[in-house]
Amino acid sequence: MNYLNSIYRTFFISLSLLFVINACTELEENPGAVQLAPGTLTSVETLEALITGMYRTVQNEARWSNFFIAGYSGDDITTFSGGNKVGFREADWRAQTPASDRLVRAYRGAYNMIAIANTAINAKEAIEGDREIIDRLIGETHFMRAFAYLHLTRTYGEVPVQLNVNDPQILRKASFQELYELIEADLLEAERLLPDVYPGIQATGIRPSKGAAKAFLARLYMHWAGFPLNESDKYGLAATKSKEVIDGGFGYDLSPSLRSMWTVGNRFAHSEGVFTMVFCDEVCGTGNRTTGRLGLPLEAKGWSETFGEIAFFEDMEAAAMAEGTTTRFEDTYVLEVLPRGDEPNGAEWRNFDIEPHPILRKVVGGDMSEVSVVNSTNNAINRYFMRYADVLLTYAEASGRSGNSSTEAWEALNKVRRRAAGLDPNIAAPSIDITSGDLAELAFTERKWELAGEFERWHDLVRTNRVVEAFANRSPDEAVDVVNSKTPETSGKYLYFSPIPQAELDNSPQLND
Amino acid sequence: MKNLAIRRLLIGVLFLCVSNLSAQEQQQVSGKVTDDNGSPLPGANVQYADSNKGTVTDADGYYQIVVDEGATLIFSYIGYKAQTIKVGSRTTVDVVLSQNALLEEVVVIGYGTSRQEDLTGAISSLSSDDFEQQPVIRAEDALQARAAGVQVTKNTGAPGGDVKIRIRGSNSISFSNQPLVVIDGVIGGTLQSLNPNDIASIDVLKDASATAVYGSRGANGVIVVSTKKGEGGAKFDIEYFSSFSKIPKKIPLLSPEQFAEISGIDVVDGGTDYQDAYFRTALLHSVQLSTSGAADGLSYFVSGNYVDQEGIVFNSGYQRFSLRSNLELQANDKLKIGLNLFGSREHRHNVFFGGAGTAGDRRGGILGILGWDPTKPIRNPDGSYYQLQSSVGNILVNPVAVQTELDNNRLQDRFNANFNLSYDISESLNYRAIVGGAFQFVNNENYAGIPDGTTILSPIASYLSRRSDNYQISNILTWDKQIGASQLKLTGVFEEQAVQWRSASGRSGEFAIGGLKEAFYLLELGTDPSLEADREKSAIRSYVGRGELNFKDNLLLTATLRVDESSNFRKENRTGYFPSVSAAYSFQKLLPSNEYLDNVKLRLGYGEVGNQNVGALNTFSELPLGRDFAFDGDNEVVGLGTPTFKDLNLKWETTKQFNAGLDFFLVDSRILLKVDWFRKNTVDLLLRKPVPLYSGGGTFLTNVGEVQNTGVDLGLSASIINTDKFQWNANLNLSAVKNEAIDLGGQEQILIGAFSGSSSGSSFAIRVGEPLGQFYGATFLGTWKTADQSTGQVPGTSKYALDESGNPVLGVIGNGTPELTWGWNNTISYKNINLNFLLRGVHGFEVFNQTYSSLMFPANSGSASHADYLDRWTAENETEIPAGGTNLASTRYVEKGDFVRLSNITVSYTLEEFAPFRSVQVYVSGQNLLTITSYTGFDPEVSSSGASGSDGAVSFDSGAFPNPRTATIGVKIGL
Repeated sequence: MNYLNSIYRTFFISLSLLFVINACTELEENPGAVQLAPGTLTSVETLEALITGMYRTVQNEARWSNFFIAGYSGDDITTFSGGNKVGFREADWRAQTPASDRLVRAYRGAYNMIAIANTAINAKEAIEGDREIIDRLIGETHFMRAFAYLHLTRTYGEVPVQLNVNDPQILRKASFQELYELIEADLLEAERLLPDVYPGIQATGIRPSKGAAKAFLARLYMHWAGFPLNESDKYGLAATKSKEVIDGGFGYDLSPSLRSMWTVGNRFAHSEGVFTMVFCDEVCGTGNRTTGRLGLPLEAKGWSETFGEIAFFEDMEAAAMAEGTTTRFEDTYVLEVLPRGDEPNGAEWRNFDIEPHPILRKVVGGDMSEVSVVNSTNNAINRYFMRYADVLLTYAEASGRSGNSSTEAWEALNKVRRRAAGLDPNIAAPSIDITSGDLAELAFTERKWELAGEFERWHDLVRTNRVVEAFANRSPDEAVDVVNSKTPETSGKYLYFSPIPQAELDNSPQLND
Repeated sequence: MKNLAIRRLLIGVLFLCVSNLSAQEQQQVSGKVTDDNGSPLPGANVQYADSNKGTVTDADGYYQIVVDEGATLIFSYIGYKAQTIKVGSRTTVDVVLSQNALLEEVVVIGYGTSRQEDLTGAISSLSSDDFEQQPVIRAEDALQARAAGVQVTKNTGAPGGDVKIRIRGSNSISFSNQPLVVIDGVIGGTLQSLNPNDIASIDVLKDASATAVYGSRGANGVIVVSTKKGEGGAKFDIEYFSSFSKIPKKIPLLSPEQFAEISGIDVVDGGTDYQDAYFRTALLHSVQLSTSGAADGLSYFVSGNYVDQEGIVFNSGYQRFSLRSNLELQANDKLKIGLNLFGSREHRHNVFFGGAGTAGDRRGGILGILGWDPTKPIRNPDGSYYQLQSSVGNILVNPVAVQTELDNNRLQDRFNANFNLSYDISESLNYRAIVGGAFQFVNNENYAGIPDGTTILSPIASYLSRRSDNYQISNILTWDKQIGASQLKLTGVFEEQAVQWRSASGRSGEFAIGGLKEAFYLLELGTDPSLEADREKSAIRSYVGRGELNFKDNLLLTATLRVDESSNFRKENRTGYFPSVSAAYSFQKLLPSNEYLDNVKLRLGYGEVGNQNVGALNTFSELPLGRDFAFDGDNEVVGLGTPTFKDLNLKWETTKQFNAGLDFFLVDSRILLKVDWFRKNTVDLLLRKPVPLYSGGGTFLTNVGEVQNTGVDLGLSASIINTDKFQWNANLNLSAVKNEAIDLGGQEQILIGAFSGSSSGSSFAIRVGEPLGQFYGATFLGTWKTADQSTGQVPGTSKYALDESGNPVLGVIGNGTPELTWGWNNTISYKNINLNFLLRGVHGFEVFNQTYSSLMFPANSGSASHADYLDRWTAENETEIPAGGTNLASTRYVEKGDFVRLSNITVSYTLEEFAPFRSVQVYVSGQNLLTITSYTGFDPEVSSSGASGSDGAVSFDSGAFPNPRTATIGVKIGL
């Protein structure tokens, strides 16, 4: 027993020594082992990764129709009255309130881009490496920030300007003037820093070039010249900038086929993209969710999310017949069998069961034989934030509005018309070309047909202050409210610009009007 | 009202049972004093009341005494309840003393023990006796409704789902309010894998004077679990039970014909009742084996347990194996060495979000089932699915197909080793060491053959592997000395704890080979699998001092100080000091001799405790990963996000609590009434402040604000009837808590969603001056009528209270945090028959019925499926049920959640000495057989917001998994 006791005692003493001398716990944290500290934003590689992250941030939002919520207000696009499409319907009829559904994505997405852009721009002095690459990346960042603020102000009007990183300061709304000046400054910096041709991309527009910066400056000046600031001398600047794009050798050209740009097979087989979002459906799962099945009606087991408006369809059909631009009309609407569900014929859309509407090809997909694309709500069809046809027509319209209807300006308009007629855009076609009349208005109308279904028409209507006029031209067959004859608003404080979303007002009440 | 009535009834019954006997002339009295089992108690005191005359029993328990007319004798024995008996005319008075459970019960208070009588803090104690009459497979079930101030909410009916425990309300807004669990001295255990049959006692430390010894981890209260030890002769016990569980009710939905008519489609083959297709009667088997005993200084308790539980949703379930070996060696009269080993495996099959969701996609599962197009059969005659999608209903992928083709397995293995040693250095000085290691291994395998969602996607699979290692070393020195009539006890602790977890995970989809089943083992076959790996480390070093003074059994004083250094904070903010003081005063000697009121004890305490549970690296900004992008539409390159905003000065959240309690020992201490009032203020809240969207959105963690909880806990335990053949023990407990956000760091309100990824936006508001858990939304006023058309309103759409500019007024529309909870547990034995029933009630809260909302207004385009839609507004019949238009979170979906539930009822029949067995017991039991509530959903107790999420968002039913009704039969055999 004594023997046992002494064993226990030895055991006990050694154990207690072990425990008392056990102050070995490490209390200092070592973050470097498992995460990337912001201090690492000193290399070109990190900057590149940050900008890559910015694209992903846009993609996360722009892959949803909500990102283009204002575009639903255009007279080219409509939606469905049922279920979860109420948010689109309220945009379509300009009946939005801060609490409207689907209102927050464009706001959040744009500011998330801006937060990353601010991080890169504020760190630019600390970055070491190849100057040429750094300039290109910083230029790209300024371009992206301008894109985001332009998307914000085109959607929500006056919004706050945040240029700092993680700054807790409470911000108020900036004026249109301040916003435009900021966007202009960013685009001018992008224009200065970006190369003529962005290296290593598969098609123009996937990343911005100097030409893209000029093209977006032209778009900005068109807004600046129109509603709400109406500084019409900016039309001249818009004409100049778009002309520089046309003359500059940035590699842009009209695609021979309009519809093939909305296919997966030919998504890189053209040079019309000025700024394009590409999607990665299969491998990454981050496909485009604004296209494919969601533009199909119930008969084709679709989502009934985005349709064409009836009066617009009828007007475009008449104009196409009269002007010989039926190729473009057929590229804009699906007029054949929709290969899904009951396989209804797109040309017979008037026979569809509930709220019949024309089917937009730019939404459903350019090629009905790409069945997996048409069947999907998560596909790899490109989103064109801007394409070269837009630049050509901006040049024509801006020239007309600034009183300089030059031959080159008419030629820009005619290039678009020739393709619309199924002809080579670069070879004169007397039967299609026009060389006289009100160039500005002709170009404005041409934009209406050319950009139909691309969420651009609404912004044209706002900047030219023709919202009420456009709403007046409404088909009697158009859907009305479930019960009574409620139609789009023609007045009210959110007629031109959407309210700042409730989610933001909840925590930032100073943004209430 | 109901509570009051019950209490009156209880007290009335109590007093009936205390019999008064009348006295007569002087006489000699003799008799025998025995214990409950009939064994004689030698040396028991037999005292002549009001004098110091008396005698003691002999070796066989016999006594003899001469007393005056009308005498009263007091029979007492250490560890047994004293009995005061009026002799009357009797000459023989045999007395049965029962063990004094209420007074002498040892309470584990953290780094030591105390007698119930000596407590100065607010502690609720349970022993295995309190819950052994209910078949339980989880320790949380044992705790539910049995301890005052402890609210156990079965947030989900999912097998193996998380259970929510709150002690005296919620302190933290952004962080979990789950209490700290300490098992056999090892901090940070979990109740969910613990075998309830291994539990000897559960002590819940509620007030800060009790929890302060756990310092920076004590703010949410502490649950101290002690597992069983062997004693006496070798015993072998077997228990088996089996249960049948069913969904409590069905939700009234449109019939296939009604649905078809509204949607303008056809019914095929009578359609399908999706509730019948999804829910089933689920079976549970539980087997429990244990052996225990003590011999030659070695005591042992060895147990094994196997539970196999089916979910009430088909293709889901839970299995648990556990083994425990508790050994303790009394090496000599000074040294005791113990080793407790515990191992468990849990396997959860198709249980998501800890059971808070019924599918990997929040829109799926129960929400998916209730909203799905019922007009078609599920399968074709050849076994293929009739339709995977429908353009009506909720337009999700067919939820029965999703569930059928789902294979999600969470394997969670735990191994705990706990070595402890106790050595009496001298008569008054003891050294104790606890060396604990807790290791956890988790594998999460997921394969979705038909992924949830709104589109048909190709199968996806993922695999996660994670291990965590937790070490603790505690050195405890105790000095315990009798000084005159007083007792002084000093305790010093030095402790270190380190926890580290490592994980790796991968996922892929678009498999090169079709028809795979368990593709989580074949991620390489998928296209471009993605990978992640991570590690997290944290550590705490602590010093604790405690002094306890018992002054002549009248005045008890306790003071503690804990100093914690946590690695979760920067050096300047690392060290926290957590003091407490408490006192108790016993009025026994001041009270006149009274047969009803034995003693009254007053307790007062104040203490400060903390919350450091923010996780590692929360003061270091990072550039988040996972923003990869494919410029070529095919190959992603690495992308980073914007730096997260971090507060370098982050520190503890501190909870300061004042407690005042009164203990009444009544009727020979057969009744113990404990009443506690508390107020606790949590300051320097660890709050995730919302960042404006214009600054990038999200939240950032900082110390601002204050939350207050004020409340009363009442616990009444009574041995109402205690005769040879008939016993009735009852325990009533009741807790009321008032919660209020005092300060939110300058903001008036913070709006939050119900859970991350919640589609319904901000449904909750935390507001200054109001309690946590406020529902936020519009006020629903029915429908706009045809007559309102002139004012620009659309008839048939929802009518909300509007402001001047015509926008719906958003504000507080209800609260999901219960104000009052109670439990009433009864055990009644008559001869061999035993009846246990547990009633509990939860009152003063609302439930947000998002399930109903999604069935009236599907979140995706589609159509309603709830039967109420039949009565929707039409031009001919202008009801208050909207036919269309905008659907906001509103008072329309806020329902009263109050309920009273028969949690358990068990009837058992026991045969002692039923050769060759020591005892045999058979029982039948039912859980949740009856629930009285006006809530229209499945179950007012469940919530989709999870057990450990923010308590700003509670009682949110968005397809929450209801608690089933269960019937159980079982047998216990003792050898």
